[in-house]
Amino acid sequence: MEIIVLIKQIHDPTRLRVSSQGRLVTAGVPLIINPDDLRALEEALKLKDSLGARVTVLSLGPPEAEEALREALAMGADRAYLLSDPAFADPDALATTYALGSAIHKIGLPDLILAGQLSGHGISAQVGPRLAEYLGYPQVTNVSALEIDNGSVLAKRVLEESYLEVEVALPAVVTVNSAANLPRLPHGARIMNAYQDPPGSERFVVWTARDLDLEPQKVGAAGSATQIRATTVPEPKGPPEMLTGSPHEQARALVGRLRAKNLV
Amino acid sequence: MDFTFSKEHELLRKMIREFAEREVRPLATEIDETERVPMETVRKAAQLGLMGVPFPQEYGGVGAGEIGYCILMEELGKVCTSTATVIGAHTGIGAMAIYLDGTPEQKVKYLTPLAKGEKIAAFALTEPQAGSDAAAIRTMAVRDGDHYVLNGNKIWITNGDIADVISVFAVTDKALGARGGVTAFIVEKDFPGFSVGSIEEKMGIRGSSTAELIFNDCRVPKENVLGTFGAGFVTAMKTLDIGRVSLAAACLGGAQAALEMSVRFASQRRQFGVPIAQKQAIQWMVAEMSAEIEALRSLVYRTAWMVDTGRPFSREAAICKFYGSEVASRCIDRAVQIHGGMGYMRGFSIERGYRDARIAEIFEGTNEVQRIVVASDIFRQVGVRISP
Repeated sequence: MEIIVLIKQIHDPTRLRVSSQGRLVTAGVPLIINPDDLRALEEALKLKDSLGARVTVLSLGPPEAEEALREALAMGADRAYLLSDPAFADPDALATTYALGSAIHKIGLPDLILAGQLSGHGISAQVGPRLAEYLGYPQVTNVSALEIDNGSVLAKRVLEESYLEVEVALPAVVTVNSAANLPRLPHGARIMNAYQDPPGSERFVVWTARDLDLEPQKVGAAGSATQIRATTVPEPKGPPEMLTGSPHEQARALVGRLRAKNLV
Repeated sequence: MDFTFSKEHELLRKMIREFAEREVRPLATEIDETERVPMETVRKAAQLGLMGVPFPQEYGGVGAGEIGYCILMEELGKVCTSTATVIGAHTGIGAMAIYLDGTPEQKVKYLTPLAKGEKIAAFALTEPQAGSDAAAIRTMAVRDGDHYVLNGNKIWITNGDIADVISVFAVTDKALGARGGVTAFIVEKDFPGFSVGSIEEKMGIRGSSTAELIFNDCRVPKENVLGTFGAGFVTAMKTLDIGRVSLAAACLGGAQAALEMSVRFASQRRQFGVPIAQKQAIQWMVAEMSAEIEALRSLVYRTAWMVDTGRPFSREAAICKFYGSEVASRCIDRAVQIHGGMGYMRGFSIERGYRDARIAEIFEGTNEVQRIVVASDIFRQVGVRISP
């Protein structure tokens, strides 16, 4: 089975701040694999362990995104593709889908594409579904558990107050949410070997827009249908009120407050 | 000059830190109270290669060198000194002796399962009459056909009761003394005549067991002579040299954790209407801790780099050992003071850290002996010979 996992490198969202001018401050903030993507990779590696599969990781990003793909190789991915070109900069979900979809055509269409439900960066949750449409694959989103049985994906989707179990024939796109698993830690020896294949080698492919024959007006900021106009931080709603007393008294006080606001 | 870690080492640190946070930190108090590191924790460490970080991959190790191993000890030292000690005694001295001086066959048979963490190692040199004066050991090994027969007692052996494989040092020629008369042996726990004696109760590193080992006509096959016959003392000293670097790395982690906890506490604890971080007395303590930690960090990783690049490092290792352990002690002492009464209470990591730190000034060569090593090396260069 061929599995492609989409990996996005993001600044650790728990460490980001917004400056007084309304800009995201990224200096000194560590770059990490988007947490949902890490769970998608873990699902792929579990399938590799149980059924046998070749796991390919694919990322669109600046040259630093190599680190994210190296970490994925250390965890157990078999090969990595990095789409990196200044022309790809600042893409929205539309331009991202175009570049990723074109790369997947060139890599070879897989049986299963796994991606994070959303990124802790753009939080649009659109790339997975758009890519499915682009490739003509069926899609299952917001999945917390999946298995492969007889050429189909059995997936558990998370709804507001219930689960939906769905079955879909391969090939398919599945997006995985944060409840799916606790991603494995890579073995030390795999970490030490993760950089052995240099960029441009068979196990670590780097492609530019030209390598993929992409139309310049459809990639990066030029190919984006949406633009970010401003980033703002919600105003704090006043100081918190601390309840005191025994746990019982605190619980009663809390219920009283909720009743007063007609919340219970 | 380049002071950055390799990408591999950075990723290794990230993995180890995550392991320490997930698997060790939640148990640290319990490990201290129950006086044992769960074997389940050791097994989980082994699954990630953490029982063989410095050893080559061909022998089941991670192949991350001394730098990688110091990263492991630093990260574990931040979270649980007992766990660092169990893995450190196994890797840094027990298995290290076999890695340094074992034959290729011994490395396949013993180092490989040790590096994979399928077996646990210990290092047995100390005896009741031979601590700092390690050359005074009395455990004897006498040839009998295809075996050597060992008789004697080793004390204060870290991992002694949980080890499967032990690097043991015994006298093979009393007349020759330390230079030529001591031989190292690889002893399996199932060899006839080997047994574990009393287990010590300690002030700190309580989760790491400290055992007496008894050799009563213990028969060791002659193939298990470790390194050159008669050169056991050299094996012991070489092994301890390397062990001192990683021991200092664990001290670095402990000191760093003490600083971080102090900074957090001082930012939150209010007295006289302001966080105590506003008080110059606290600021000076934090600044001094930070200065010593920076100096120690540079020293530890530079020495680890010397090990990995094949440079002589004995003097630097001795400096690592005494400076590192004393930095850790001073930092945790200041951390107790900054935390006030909270720093003295059982169940908080500050109080545990204070008890855990003290041993590092004593074991793996007392700090006094390390100062002699350094001074001897300095005076040797001007032609003055120092005797301990």
